[in-house]
Amino acid sequence: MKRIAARSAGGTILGLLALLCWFPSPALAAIPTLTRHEILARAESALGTDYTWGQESWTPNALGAGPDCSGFVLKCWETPRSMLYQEEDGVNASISPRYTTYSFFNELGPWTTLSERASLQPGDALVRNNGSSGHVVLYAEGDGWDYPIVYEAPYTGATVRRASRYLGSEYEPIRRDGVATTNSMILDNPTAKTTGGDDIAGTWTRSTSTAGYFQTDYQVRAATTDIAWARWTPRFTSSGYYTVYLRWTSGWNRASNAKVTINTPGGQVIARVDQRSNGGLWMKVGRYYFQAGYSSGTGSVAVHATGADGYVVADAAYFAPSLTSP
Amino acid sequence: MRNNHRSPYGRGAPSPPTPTPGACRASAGDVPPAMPAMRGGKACRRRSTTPRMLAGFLVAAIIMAVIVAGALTARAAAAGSDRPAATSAVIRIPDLKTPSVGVRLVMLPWGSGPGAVGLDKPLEGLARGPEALAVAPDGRIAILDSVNGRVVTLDSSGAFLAALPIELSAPRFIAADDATIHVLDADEDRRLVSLDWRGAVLGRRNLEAGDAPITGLFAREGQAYVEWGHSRVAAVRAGDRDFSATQPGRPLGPHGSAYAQARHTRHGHPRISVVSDPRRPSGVPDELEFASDVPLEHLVSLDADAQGAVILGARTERSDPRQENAPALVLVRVADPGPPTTLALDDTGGIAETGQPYAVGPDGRIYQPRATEQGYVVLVHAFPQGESL
Repeated sequence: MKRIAARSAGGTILGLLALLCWFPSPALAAIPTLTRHEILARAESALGTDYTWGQESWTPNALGAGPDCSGFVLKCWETPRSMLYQEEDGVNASISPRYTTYSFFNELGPWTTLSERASLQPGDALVRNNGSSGHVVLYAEGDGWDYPIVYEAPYTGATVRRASRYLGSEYEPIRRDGVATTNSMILDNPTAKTTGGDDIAGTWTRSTSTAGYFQTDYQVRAATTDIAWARWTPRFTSSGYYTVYLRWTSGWNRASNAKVTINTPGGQVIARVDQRSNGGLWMKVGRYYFQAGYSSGTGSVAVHATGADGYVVADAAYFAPSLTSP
Repeated sequence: MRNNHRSPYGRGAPSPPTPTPGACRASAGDVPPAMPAMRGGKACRRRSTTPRMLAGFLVAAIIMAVIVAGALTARAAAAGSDRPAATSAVIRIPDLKTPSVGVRLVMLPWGSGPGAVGLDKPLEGLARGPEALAVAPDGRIAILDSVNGRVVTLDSSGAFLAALPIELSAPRFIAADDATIHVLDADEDRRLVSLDWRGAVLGRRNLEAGDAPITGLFAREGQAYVEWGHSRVAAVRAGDRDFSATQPGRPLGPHGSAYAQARHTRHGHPRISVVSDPRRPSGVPDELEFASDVPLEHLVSLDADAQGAVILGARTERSDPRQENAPALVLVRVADPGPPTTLALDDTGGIAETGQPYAVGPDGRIYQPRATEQGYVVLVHAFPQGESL
């Protein structure tokens, strides 16, 4: 019995040790699935903010303190997951410990080194690290020469920029794990995901209680007379007509008259959606012309809780390029 | 350009000829089907003036008018253009295994003192060396030492000339001709500043933000040109606010004798369209296609030297990004007369970022910066003479 007990105790200890070794560190916890357009929209929201060493937080679409190079990519990649709603949760301090360019370069996080740059897609990254210094940039697209256009937080004294940059052989291409396979222009939850930026007005609550939401969760707000809206601002890759779809989770307590505003170069268009039905589906709002680029004022869609007759859900938006004019 | 150009390249093929003035005249005279109808109308008029005859006469007159107008238009078009038939060539880029070593022109120590560039030690973030360099037609070199807020100038042998302060926050582009140095901050100030070689400010222009990032700055005989997205090029003059009036492409050569546009798509061959100034003939074909033995990742440069040779640079795709001493860059010089020549470079910049991996000099030599532990080195590479592909 003693031998059996000793064996049992030893097995338990070994099992515990094995469990401890296996159990992922907090930094390696599951990360949310992202679309490439979400990553780019998040990057756009940082343009013009100040490079701030050791930081990864910024107020979207506002000037002021911003991230350093690795903090910028980590936040665009929402890695770790706590960065998803960092500002909204009041976690503006630097996350510690945090991934660095060394981690990016040596595959010490939820990403994979690509075998060749020809595989690069928007939202991937390129990193260099020689042991003492390093840099990481977010790949946006190739231009007419396939020359890389990147987003980066460059150095102290400069601001986050979108620029054409030559990247030498020191830079290796890497891809975040858990990027949605779709290349569709889909943005999950309001773009900026913060109360401090200009893509959210009023307080919205995150929820997973009703099924049918896109990816991680959705945001919801009770009807109010106060200003309360949530907005999606993609980066349009080319000028043209796009069909705009919205998605929500439906229920008896939802708004039947949720106001939707579409901001176009020609002005603002107003529509209404009934969120008491058609939950979990991409529901067409309309077809509109947008110009290439990123502009919340002339290239976005927003849903409003103000004046609604029930809860309003802001889950996801989909901008589908339309090949023909009306 | 010249008429009836015959490609000097073995694999070249002339494009289908465009109609010549003689051909246009021949087609204009080729109108026999319409003429008998008119004559018939005249003959009928002597015998009868019925409405049917009048209608026939009117139809014939309309046909004649159309024919005459067509002939006049063709003749006017032929007389107004000296443009010869378009020419084209296919250039093969071999898979070069060995990068050029080059000759060290100069090494500048790190720091902010006279004759030094960059930082004594890197700050956090992107380790910054000089952001770019430019070579003027007379061989003088201007190095954009952004981190120290200045331009460092050298003579053609690499000897230090001067350090010229600049008033821009984060310039990344520089271009120079014999009289002027243009410096552009495309990211922070969005401003172009022009200096003379003694540092006196000649002009400033603000550039509005565009959707396509700025990809090039060129200087030709005092005139600055800015390129967006490797596709749209505009001359930037003092007081300009509207840069929608574009050039046919990048100005080529130290005197801007031609313009060229290059295109590249993944898994496709690069193509160059050259638009030459008819006052300055160049024998280089109008359309160049490059068939590379090694896949190309993207184009890097498009220039011409003082002899009118077009020089294209590209970055190659390598299966293993950690492969050392791989010639990541390939350059091709297409001249007329003579066969094309090629040059391979590695692009391991070193301990700090140095922007564009090289600059093409007016004599066709390649100036390559490298950030070493000891300092900022400029290597000079030359295309081999008479290499046959």
